[in-house]
Amino acid sequence: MITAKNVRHDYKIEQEEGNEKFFRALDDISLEIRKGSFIAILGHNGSGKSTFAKHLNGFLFPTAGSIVVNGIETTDTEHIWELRKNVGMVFQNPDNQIIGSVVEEDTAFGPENLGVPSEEIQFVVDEALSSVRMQAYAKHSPNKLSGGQKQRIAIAGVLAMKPSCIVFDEPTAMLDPSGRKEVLKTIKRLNREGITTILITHYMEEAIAADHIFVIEQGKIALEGNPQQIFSQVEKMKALGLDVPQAAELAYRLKQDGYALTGQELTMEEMVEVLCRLR
Amino acid sequence: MIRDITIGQYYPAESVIHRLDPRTKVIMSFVFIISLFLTTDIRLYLAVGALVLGMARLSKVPLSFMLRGLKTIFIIIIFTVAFNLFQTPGTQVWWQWSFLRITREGVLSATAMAMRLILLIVGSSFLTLTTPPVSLTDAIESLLKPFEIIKVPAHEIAMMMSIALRFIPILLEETDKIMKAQLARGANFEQKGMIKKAKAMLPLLVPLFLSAFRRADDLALAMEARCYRGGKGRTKFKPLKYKMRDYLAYGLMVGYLGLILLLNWAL
Repeated sequence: MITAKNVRHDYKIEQEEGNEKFFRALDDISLEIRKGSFIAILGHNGSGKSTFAKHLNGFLFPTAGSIVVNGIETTDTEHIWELRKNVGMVFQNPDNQIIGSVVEEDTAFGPENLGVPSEEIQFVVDEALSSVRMQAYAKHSPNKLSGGQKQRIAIAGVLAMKPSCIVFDEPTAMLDPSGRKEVLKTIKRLNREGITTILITHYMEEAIAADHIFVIEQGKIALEGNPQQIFSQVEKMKALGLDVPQAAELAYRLKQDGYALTGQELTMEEMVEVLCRLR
Repeated sequence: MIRDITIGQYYPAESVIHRLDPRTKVIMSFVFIISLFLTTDIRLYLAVGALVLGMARLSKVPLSFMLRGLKTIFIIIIFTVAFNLFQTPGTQVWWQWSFLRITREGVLSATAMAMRLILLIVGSSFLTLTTPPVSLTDAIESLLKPFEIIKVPAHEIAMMMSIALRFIPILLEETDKIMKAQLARGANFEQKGMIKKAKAMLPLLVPLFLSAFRRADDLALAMEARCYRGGKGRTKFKPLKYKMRDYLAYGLMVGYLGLILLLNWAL
């Protein structure tokens, strides 16, 4: 569904006469994302993961290489709105992406822009709000909601456009632990309902649910694989300045000390089970 | 709590006037204001006053809310009355002291002026008291639409207004946060004197502006991500639709305007 080929992106950082300096944010990124899959992109601040996300719906164009989404080249400005309808985007700060003063009016913003007939919008809005479990708040003001609820409203606003893919750009970075849980649960559910999910995050625990993980470092794909493969490479992750989930780290250390573990245990539950079997 | 503030002075209630189309209310307010300037007859003002009281009952907004607006223009009313009272030349002089004199005409015009101002404020407060700000922006967009021919950006104005409405509480909260942060760093916001006061505001305003610009950037991105591309080809979630009661209201409005003109001419 999404194919990136040798994508490079240079930011212009300094522009004096005849003297331009560039910062290479993405360097030769190639990847393939299948329809309906759950992809996590990890990397610390400034690694280029958000820059990559902005390439997926045509906010930024590759300096070299190409990205094709559902058969549409992202640089094709004629089909840019079709592309953006298809690839929804949820950002970090929930406050800064809610446009309406009433929840349901905000959810209607996308369909309004797409020119959906007035009579149909109500239906689309109700559907979107119920898939994030926020239909009870349809008439509320977003200002009085919690961070997690606001982020779910933002997700509903994207869902109302009926996208086939949603890019979550650090959606939980500004939320408290309970809000983070709410939002992650919503994301997982939407993925199960068939929406291709790309989750950009620096919380390793959130990436466990993914089918496939890309670790980006200095604009390059440093590691890729499924969660077990990624998080069992504890030393490599540490070298990249990233943590691994607690259970994975414990498994790794126990394995090094000669215990009979696979080193691929990622969650507490798995860990408990394996430890009990050890005795 | 700063989150609970309401913008404007909307008074939520279930009444015929609340249910009227916001466009009807905007136009009626205009006509009402114009009608007040068509006459100077005190008897007519009394009649209009009675009408306004009747409307107030109908709208279920407590009278104390309606009169609240008068507080702010109290001084203006006093000045207007004083000028008209003492400075109107007339045939029947009732009282005189140096350049101040009270004439029959002066008393009449002072009373008329005061009534006109009071009716103006109370009458036009109906609009904001019975219409939520969001509907008001819809009405403004719709009423300005015909002026797009002469390049009035109707949709953009309405969009700006609704975004402003959305972000006022957020920015207020942010102001509160920055203020506390700066107080914790030893800022003093309670200086005496205009210049000192303005200078004290600087550590508040600079971060606030910075954050407002950052928010604007984020919001623009989020809007574009949701396919916003201006008013063209856009549909409305809840388009404004005139109902029977709106036509009735327009009818009554025309009748009212005619009656004022007729009575003003006859009396």
